[in-house]
Amino acid sequence: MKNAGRSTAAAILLLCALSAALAALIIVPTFAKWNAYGKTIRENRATVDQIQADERDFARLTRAGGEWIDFARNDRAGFLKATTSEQARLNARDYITALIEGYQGSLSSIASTVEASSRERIELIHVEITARVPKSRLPAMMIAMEDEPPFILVESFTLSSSGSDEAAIRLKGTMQRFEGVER
Amino acid sequence: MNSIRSFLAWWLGELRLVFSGRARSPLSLAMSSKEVALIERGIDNPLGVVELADPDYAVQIEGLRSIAEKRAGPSAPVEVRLPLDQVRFLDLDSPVSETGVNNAAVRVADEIDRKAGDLVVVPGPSVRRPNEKIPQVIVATTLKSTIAEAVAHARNWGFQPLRVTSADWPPEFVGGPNFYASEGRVRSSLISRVIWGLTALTVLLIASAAALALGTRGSIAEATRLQAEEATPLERDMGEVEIRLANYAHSASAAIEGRTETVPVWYLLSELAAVMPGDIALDSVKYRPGTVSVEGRGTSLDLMARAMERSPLFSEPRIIETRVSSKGIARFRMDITVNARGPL
Repeated sequence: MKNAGRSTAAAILLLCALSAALAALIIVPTFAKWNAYGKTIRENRATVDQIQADERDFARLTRAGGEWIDFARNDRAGFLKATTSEQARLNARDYITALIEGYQGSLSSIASTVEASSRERIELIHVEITARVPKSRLPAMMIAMEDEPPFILVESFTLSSSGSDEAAIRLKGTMQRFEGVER
Repeated sequence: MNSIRSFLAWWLGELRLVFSGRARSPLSLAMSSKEVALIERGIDNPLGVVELADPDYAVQIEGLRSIAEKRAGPSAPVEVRLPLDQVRFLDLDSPVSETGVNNAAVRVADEIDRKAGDLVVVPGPSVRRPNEKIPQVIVATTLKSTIAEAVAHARNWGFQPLRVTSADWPPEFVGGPNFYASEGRVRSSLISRVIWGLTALTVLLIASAAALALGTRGSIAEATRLQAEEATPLERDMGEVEIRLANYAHSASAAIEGRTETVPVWYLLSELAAVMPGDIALDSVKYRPGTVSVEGRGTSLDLMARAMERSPLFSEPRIIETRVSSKGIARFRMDITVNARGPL
């Protein structure tokens, strides 16, 4: 600095500039370090939060899965209990026979086929029944058939009366087996 | 090297003056045997010149004082500059102690035929001359009486002399020699020291707080890092688990959902019985999803059709066939649309 430029104001200005430069030398790395720590903290907390959230979600899903398994095993879920498809057909026949006879009816014929459902682990047991049932017991029997588990979902139904006290029924329906919940 | 020393001496000297709390003036009163000039310090801009030989000089001096008052304050504080012929600058071998300076005064006194006690000697910066083997110290000297006379003149004219220096000085002697300095202060040295102390304390506190905050943040970062390392990620695809659960639930609810999708036959028969007029006897009922066909005998077919229309379960009763049998009783076949609604 030439002598002409030397004044009190220049000296103070120079001091301010030097102070600012020194402050910047300290503040800039400090701020960078502060930011780096902040980034580390955020990333680590996000990692821990994600893991905890996954654990909570997994626990929730496991609990929900357990509840669904309990539900599926419950009779009220409406499935026909059987370990195999063939067992399901036999169980369906036995169940329907017992049901009709329970209402003083007589089973004339029953045919069944098994088909895989579009839903996982669900088998459809299609049954075709012809039977004679006292007219007075028909409503109760139909309620038991459709509303009591294992449910029979009726696809077509023909009822004919010959004038006697009995009604002849011809029914096509479907029962369902949920593989893996035989207990 | 000399220029760096010169620069540092100027800069630190200026800062010392600014922060010392001593009174300073932006004006200089340059004296000579013939005239007095009021100039702006730093840029040496003349504000007024008075010739001492002028018979009207007292009035003009008052004019200078008035200018100084306006520029520098009520007591017209100024820096007094002695004429160059009243000041001498000498180089002495370095190092220079207080004794050395006094010896310089003796040497100067010999040269100008004065007593050493009559002189004021001000040491300046140390410089290295090209033709000297050891560093030199520049000293400035003048007579004590000259200083006293200049101060007395300035006071008589109504100025407040803050310091006395020379009209000019070597470039290395930054700021010029300080032959005299008044005790006038802007603030007391105690307040100056308190301000310095508080400033230093504030800076220290801010630095400490910043260091503490940074350290704490670093500890937190380390703690979260350890926490993240200790946390074991779940080695399962949560999306897959959710899909499996959804599929399971979809299957588990199959039977229940199937019931709600169709109209139960028992409900259909119950509704048929409820809406059927008393003189109608049904021989057969055929149900397929969406439609029920009935065959029977009776007379009130219109009544039956209207009853069907009123039922929430049935709609659009269509008589497909009628045949009159004995005693005016008709045999009929009717198709009825079944609304896809089960028991409410």
